[in-house]
Amino acid sequence: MYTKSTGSGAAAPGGSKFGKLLDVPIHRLMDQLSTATAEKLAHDDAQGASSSAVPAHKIDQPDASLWVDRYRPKCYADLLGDDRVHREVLAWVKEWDQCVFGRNKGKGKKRARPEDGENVDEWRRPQEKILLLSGPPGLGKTTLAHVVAQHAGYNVFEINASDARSAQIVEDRIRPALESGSAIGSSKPSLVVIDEIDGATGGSDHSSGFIQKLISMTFEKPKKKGRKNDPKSSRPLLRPIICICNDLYASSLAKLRPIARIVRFSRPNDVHLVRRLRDVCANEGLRADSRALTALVGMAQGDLRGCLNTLQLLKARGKEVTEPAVRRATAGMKEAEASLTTVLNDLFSPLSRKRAKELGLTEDDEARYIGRLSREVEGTGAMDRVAQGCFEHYANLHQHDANFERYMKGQEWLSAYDIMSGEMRSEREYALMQYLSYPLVAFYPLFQERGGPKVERPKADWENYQKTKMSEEIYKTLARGLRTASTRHMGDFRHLASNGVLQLEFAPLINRIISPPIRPVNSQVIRPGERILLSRLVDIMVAMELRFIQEKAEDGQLVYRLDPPIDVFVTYDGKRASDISVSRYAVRHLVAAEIDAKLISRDADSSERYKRKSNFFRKASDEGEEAQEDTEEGDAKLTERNPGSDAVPRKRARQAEMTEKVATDFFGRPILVPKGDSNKPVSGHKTAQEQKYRVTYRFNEGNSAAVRKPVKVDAFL
Amino acid sequence: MDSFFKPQAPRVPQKHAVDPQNQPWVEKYRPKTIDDVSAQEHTVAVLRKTLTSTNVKFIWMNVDLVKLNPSSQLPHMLFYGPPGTGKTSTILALSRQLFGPDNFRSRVLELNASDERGISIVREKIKDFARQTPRAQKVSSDGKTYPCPPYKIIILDEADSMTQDAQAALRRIMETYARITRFCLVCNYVTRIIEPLASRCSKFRFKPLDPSSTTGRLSQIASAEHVPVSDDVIQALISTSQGDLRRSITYLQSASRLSMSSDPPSEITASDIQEIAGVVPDTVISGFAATLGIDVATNGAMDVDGQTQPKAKGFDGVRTKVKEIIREGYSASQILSQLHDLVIEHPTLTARQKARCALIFAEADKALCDGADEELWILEVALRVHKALS
Amino acid sequence: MSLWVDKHRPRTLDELHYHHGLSARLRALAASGDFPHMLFYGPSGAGKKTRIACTLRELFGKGVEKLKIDQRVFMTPSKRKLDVNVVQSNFHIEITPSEVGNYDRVVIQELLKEIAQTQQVDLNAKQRFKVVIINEADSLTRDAQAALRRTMEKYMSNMRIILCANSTSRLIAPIRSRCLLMRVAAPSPQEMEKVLQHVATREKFHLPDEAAHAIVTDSGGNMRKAVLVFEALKMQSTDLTGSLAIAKPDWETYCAKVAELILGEQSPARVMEVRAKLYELLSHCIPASVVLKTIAECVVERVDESLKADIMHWAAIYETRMRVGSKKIFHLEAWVVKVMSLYKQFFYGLDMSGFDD
Repeated sequence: MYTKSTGSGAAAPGGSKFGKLLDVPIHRLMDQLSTATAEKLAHDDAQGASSSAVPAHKIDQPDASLWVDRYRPKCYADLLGDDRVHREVLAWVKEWDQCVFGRNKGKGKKRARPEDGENVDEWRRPQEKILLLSGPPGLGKTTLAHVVAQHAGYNVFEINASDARSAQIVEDRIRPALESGSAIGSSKPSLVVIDEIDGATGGSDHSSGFIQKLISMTFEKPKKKGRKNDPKSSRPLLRPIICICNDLYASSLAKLRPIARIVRFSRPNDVHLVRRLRDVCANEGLRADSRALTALVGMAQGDLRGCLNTLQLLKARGKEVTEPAVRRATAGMKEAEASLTTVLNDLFSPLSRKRAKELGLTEDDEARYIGRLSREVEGTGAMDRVAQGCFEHYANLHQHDANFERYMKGQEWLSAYDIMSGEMRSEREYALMQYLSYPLVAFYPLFQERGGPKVERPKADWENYQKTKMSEEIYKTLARGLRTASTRHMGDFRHLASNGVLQLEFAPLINRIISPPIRPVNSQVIRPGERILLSRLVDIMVAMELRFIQEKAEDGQLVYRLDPPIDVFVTYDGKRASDISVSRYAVRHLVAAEIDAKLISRDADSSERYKRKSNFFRKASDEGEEAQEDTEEGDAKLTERNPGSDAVPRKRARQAEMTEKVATDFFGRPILVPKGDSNKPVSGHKTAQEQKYRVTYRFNEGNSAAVRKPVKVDAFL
Repeated sequence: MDSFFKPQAPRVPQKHAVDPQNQPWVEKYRPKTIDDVSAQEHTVAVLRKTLTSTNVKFIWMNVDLVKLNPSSQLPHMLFYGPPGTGKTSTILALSRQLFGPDNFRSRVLELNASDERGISIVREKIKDFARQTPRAQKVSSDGKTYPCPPYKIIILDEADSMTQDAQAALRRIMETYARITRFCLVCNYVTRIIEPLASRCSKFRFKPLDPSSTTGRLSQIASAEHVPVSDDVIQALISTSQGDLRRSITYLQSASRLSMSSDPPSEITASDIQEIAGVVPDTVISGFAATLGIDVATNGAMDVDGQTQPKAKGFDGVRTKVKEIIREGYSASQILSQLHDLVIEHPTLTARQKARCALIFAEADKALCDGADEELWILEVALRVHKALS
Repeated sequence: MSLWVDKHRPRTLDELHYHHGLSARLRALAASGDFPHMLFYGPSGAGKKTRIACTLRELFGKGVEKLKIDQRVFMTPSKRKLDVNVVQSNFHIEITPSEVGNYDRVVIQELLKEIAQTQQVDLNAKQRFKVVIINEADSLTRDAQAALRRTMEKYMSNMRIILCANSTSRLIAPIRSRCLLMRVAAPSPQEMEKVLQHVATREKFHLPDEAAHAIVTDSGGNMRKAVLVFEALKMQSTDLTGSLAIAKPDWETYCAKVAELILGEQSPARVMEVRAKLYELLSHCIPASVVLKTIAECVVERVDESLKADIMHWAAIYETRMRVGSKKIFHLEAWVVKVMSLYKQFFYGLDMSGFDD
């Protein structure tokens, strides 16, 4: 009150502090309000005038507003199109009522989704916290979101393509908007509408950051129950979010889709659209025959916004709405946006009669398909995927093709496409881009077929890519293993890890080398011949860093898995090569046990050696490696950080690296837990001779602690 | 030796100084003056004129005067031609003669493909250098006088490997700083230089060296290095290097290395040169040609060869032969070019047959350039030549 | 301890079993103190890397066998991070630039400059230079090769480069002319048998001649493969007598299967079937050109003489296209369709073409 009364008085020394409360002095605000009202009135008058004006009256005052805005539905009842969709959206928004307004509308709840019963959400929010509206442009998705929000009593806070969409925005703008509960100066709670969310692609990490952030926000839970007590902890999402997109399957939305409720928009019935357009025309004093309007709607494929814009354009030119005028005005209007599947279908099947009529194409025009299709192909912006689609689909067409003439031609075109695009990429000759669509258009004359099988979204390539990535990963692990092995054993395994050799020679043959025919018997009673074989096998596997790892299969059975799983490289079509004997569980068990024993003894050995070395410093030793170490002291010195010291620290460093390496290798894998820090127990064991400590290990497999017994370190050695 | 080594590579910091014993002969015997440049008479004549005309007028102080006499100035230059014909040597020698050892570093900027030459470098480094007004130094430390004209030279070696963008960025720089900076672009393929750049330069074509000048240069080097070489060896060097002087010098040095290092220093032989150059021995090629149905003007060895192994005819015969050659590890492009020579110079094949073969060789060469599989293409060539001749 | 292929790998030039002339030459060069840049080339498994290792050993002594492996990170101008595995000793460094694909130029430039600018600190070292080994040099991009050419001249004083490649065709002429070429041909069958016998003796068992012969024939001049196969055989059946079934690598068997499919039936359905198999092969990281080559070989075995040349011709054509393009599967299938069409035409005679129209 004080501020208001003194605000106009301005520069009182004490008042300046309070004057800041309002950015604009109150009197000015009042002024603005009144001018705004005046303007609005004037505007309404003008509109009234123009709508009531006689059609013949040509010179009406220039009206700045777009028809699209002028005829935007203002309330729920104005909405055009599929009622079910509208109701679904509204129902979802209403589900928030309990949470947002705290009131309980029994009616709405009953009609809501079945899982409502188990809706145990603490804030009584709907199951999915985000609504994803998808559909082609111009059908009124944004309008629907706004209208529904208003209808349900929310204030709309909109983020669209004009805003930056980074993870930062979520923090800076969306969260405050949601958390403040209501926008400033309004008593209504806010509802966030994120428009064109699929366009959030600028900089891949940013956009995924945006969506990632959004998702994480929906899952946030406060640490304590009292939600307002702790302002620092992130608060749960308590207001609805509506996301709007054109392409539901945009890759950036992949993560959003599973957690959002998805509502698809479809094209409203043409009749309704035509009726609405006729109303508009009548209102604007534009003479229009309904044939022209039908043509317009058909042309625009239900895009009401496009229709209105076209009409406004015609009106501005002072033309009558007739069919030819409409055709001229809409030339090329819709071709820019076509989804992948539409394009593919267009490539593989001739135009339907209806569509041809809609586009107003004569027989003659239809035969001139190249321009139409190439524009369409180009319009997808993903020509590679169109090519992929063509590739995956053409062989499904069972056309009579005795000597594969047509197939060869198709392939020829694909080759041409691929070479061209490859050239474009590698030489950065983007001038080639404009020609890229033409090789693909060639599929139309070759393969078009009325009523042929529907084209599916190309996916084989992606699957193959995934698989390849996986194999590559395994190869990488194998190569890494070989490289570390080669440093450890002074070997040259790394040469086996080079490209080509690894895949073509090493991988298939190593699989054979490590699967000799061994009978599954106890290692104690094994025959000497097999004993040699076994120890050789173990040696190789240890050297190559290959292990058998115990795992539970899906059916609960224990299996030993090779790690890294290089046996996939002899498995084609899910079958292993026939000449490799299937190694049974028992055999693998035997081998795994031997490998573990070997590893432990090796570590023990090396720690032993380390001890001896540090104790009997530089004593003459007949061990080859040490001798070598000594002879190369000169070399060793150079690499050492401290040139004065001896070879020992180096040795120690290597030791440390070795044990550390082993520890990480097997960390957390139950079967090998005792080994994980075997270096310690061994030294512990050594000191135990004097001090008699008992060292016990326990490891738990599964959930049961029933079997637990103390084991001495000796048992492992 | 040191005395000429010093102006030799002033760009290289001293710590890189090489023991002249081990220095590549290519560097060691790089021409010091443009008159030393072998066999590019036309170019050298033109350049010498520039040199002398600047020299006579000696007008480096008076910029206005220079403006009045544009003819006396060095234009922007574009040197192109096959490798090893002396392009880089010429421009280096020229700039050394123009500026002398002292001013060389401040007046000449040499950039080659091993330096980063993206658009950013053009915008920054080259532009900065081009912008500087040269400061002259009257007296050179070695007492000689150099013309030292009032401009700087920027040498862009291997310019054909510059990106289009970078070349485009050069256009304006070349014009803007034309008064104080000359560009010299050096490249193998003039077509890879964008037209606007090429049109700003006067072009000098370096042609492959003719055998006589190569011979002269090689024997000069050989005698300087005290390496005994026979005429055979020189012939082999010339035929394997195909006008590329650098290659023949390198081969000579490698051969001399090998012969020196073997225990009793042995003579260099022509076959040594061939092995070093990666040339496929003639017997292998003629054996291959025989399998393809080309009548090789046989010496005795071939007949024996033909008798010992009854020639498997047709596809399998050809394939076995190809596999054999591949196992020997010869380079496919080398085999092709030698086979090409053999076919084209063959005395009895008809022109039509030769033309067909040439077509096949061309295709194969293109494919190999694109990185295609060697075995497949050798086989392809073999099969098609076989077909074309039968 | 380890695989035979490693255990019995020659470590010094004296231990090498074949190409003695080459070994002598390398020894002489190493001793001369005037060691040039070198390019080792020859088919896979001929022993290039072994020879390089032996040469290094000859140059620097045992110290080169003390290796450490680093992962170095390089930045592209576009701020992308590249990981490169670097194997090095005090005297040499070994890289495989093709690991980073098109960015190999960055690696070459940065790494070589860095090495060239560090002097050999070890005063006891036998040589004043360090050696850089570049593996798979034939897959270097043009840019990288261009970057290499000047570097090779400029930093000659304290660095030597040894390139290792399967063929020289893909190397640009300036690089070739700056290196001393060392051709390592595949060993002859006799030499290979000798090596196998040597391994057997060292392992203290008897290798029957037939077995050795069978292995050698199978390996096609690839020594590494021969020893691996040998060991696999030994593991699977201890005595090595009688008839030996030398296992083909699985991808080869699978390729043969694909070839059978192609010739078995020529229909759109079969095209799809073959495509699935091709995908399977590619997903096992078998290089597409190897797939094409192997299938082509198998197909050629089974068709009429008059078709063979055509089939190989198209294989060559499509293999080249594959290199230029980016989608390998397109070209593989294009070849398959082509072969099917050729085969069908041949099988049903020429009247087919008229019938179709």
